Amino acid sequence: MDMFNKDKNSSNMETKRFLEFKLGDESYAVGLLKVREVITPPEVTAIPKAQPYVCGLINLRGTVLTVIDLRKKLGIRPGQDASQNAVIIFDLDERLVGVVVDSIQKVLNIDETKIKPVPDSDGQGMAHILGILHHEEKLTMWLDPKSLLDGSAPLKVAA
Amino acid sequence: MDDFEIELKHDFLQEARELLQNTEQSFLELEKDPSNKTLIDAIFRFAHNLKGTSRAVGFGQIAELTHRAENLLLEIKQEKIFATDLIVSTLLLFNDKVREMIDGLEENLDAVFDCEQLMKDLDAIIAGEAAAPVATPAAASFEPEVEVEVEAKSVESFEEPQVETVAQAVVHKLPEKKEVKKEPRKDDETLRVSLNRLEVLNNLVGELVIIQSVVESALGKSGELKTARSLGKLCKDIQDLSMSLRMVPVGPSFQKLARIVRDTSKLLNKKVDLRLIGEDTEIDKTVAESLGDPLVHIIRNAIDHGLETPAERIAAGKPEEGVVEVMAFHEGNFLVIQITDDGKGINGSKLIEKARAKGIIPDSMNLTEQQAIELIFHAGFSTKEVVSEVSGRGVGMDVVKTNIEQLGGEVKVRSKLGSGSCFRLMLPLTLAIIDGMLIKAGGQQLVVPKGQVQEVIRLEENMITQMTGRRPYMNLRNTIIPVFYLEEDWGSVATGEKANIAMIVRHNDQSFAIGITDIMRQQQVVVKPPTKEILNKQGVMGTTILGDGKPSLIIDLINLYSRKLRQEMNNDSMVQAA
Repeated sequence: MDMFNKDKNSSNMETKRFLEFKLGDESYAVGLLKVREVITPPEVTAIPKAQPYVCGLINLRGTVLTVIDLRKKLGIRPGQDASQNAVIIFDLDERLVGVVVDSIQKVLNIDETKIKPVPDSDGQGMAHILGILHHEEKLTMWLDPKSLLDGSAPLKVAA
Repeated sequence: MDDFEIELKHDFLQEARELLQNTEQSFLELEKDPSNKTLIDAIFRFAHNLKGTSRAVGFGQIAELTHRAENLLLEIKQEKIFATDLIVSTLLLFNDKVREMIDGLEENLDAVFDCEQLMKDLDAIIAGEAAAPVATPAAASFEPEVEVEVEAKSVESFEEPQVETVAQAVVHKLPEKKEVKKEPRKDDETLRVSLNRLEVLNNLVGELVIIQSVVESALGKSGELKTARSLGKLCKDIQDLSMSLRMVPVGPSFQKLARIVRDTSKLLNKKVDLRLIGEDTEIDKTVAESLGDPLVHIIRNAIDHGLETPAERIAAGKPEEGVVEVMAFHEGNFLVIQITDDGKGINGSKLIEKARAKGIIPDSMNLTEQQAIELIFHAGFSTKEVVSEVSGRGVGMDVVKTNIEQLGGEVKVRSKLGSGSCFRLMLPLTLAIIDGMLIKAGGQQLVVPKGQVQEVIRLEENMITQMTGRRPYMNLRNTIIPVFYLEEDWGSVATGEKANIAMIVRHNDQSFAIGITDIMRQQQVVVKPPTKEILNKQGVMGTTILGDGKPSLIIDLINLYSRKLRQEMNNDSMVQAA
């Protein structure tokens, strides 16, 4: 019946797709559908007197958008090797935002059963984490780009 | 309600809103020409259409109200009732009411409205009680109407009711014929495209032009310049075309005026002939939308303050009917709208008196006639002794001026006592492109709107006077003006570069200088919205992409400095040297 989803035939479990990337030495992931594209870091135009985590403006095929350094925002020390750096363009309800990351890892297919809830903790960063992805004996934080980038209140504290 | 139904309802509302614009126009024409058959037919068709579709999508109240109006229109159509002024007034009220309902429904699809009174009025006219359309209860003898009400509630679709009186059958059968033969949609030749898509198209075309210039410079070396140039021409043509897609005629903004003129002149018992010229003149959609309010204000003023009463006009040897002319035309990169009346003109000396009494100008100050007339643009200035219902509610021409200036335009006035006044609005054809100056300050390239810069001067060492703890100032042709440095407010790094150049900006009769490092060039730039991260930063007008493909910020100098200036002026009132 479902001719479009042939690979799903053996399992009736839902799988979700994520894009895994690194901020410093830490692994994070975001829902793949939130990602418009990934580009190599372009030249940015600085925005004077902006928040320190705002890298500046770029021109993505005629659209001007802001690029943000999530590492600065979350207080993560950048990795040594910048050669693998990339910018993920997020599509957040009609608005595009670029985010600099240390490197892109891969696309993850994860069973819903392997997505664990966030442990109860009052750590500030937890506010933007939707869950924890358990795969290949590893744990990856599932980030919510919208709450992270929409400039909600806890962010400014984190910066 | 499922998504499909909601979408259907919203589609209906949008369509109905457009239809209403046309009907208002038709009602007004009907008033002038009450026996025009084709006009009445057109209005009747509209009402019938509205009734049918509104019922089909489930807006029972609109359907019910429209049904009453349709009945009345049928009587007019069959020449049983003559469309008097009073009837047209009621129909206009009906038009307003439906618009109000549409507005309300757009906010809340389940909104309920009070239209009892209007329905009664409409019924009363049909029942022949047109003399007193206010608060006349429907006559008891009016049996068929009651029946229709029941029908309106019980029948959901277009189906005709089963039981009908003979009279009712006429009302319904007639329109049914038209329903079978589907009317061709009038807007066949146009296509509605969302503004968002146009923006994307413009972005992409802008990018195409940039890449083309890169290709051209690369190909130039290999001798293939001719091909590159023809590609360039093609790109330019495509860009012009894609920019022009945002342009709409000013006509719809003008059409609203007819109604305003009618209502205002009736209220004031003045006779007005409104002449609209150049309705096809095109302007950017965004500008067109913000044009309505200022126009309405000026027109109201012209009728209220400008035109005399019929008696006064005859005494002055003028025709009884006053003329208000609204003319639109292009002039360079501007759309000009000229509003001329043949009224009594603006009395300059009266304005001076008033301004003195209100303390707006000092007693000792002498003004030329033109300066006196321009006092009407001063905030808090209303010359009418009595605040009337029509104009002079405290907000006045100063608001018009501010609104137009915010759009990057200009308002001018000329007036001759006894023979009339003329207001001239100059508006940029588009907000999407501005003439910019590419400047350098604090190690950063920025764009400022050229229109804000009055003049540019080279700064010499000794021109600026520093004072500890105060804003530095300079002497510009015997006027002391404050000096700001763009680097302090917008530099990305403290470069320590000297400010070599000062841009002189004038706002509200106050000039100030802004020191910058350099001016690179002047160029037209496409204004793009600021990204969310910089949206609320003071002084950001938008962003743009420069010829080399790099993004840049557009700085609104007036917005950035006027508040700062006012604060500092209050702190230490600057000495004005004579």
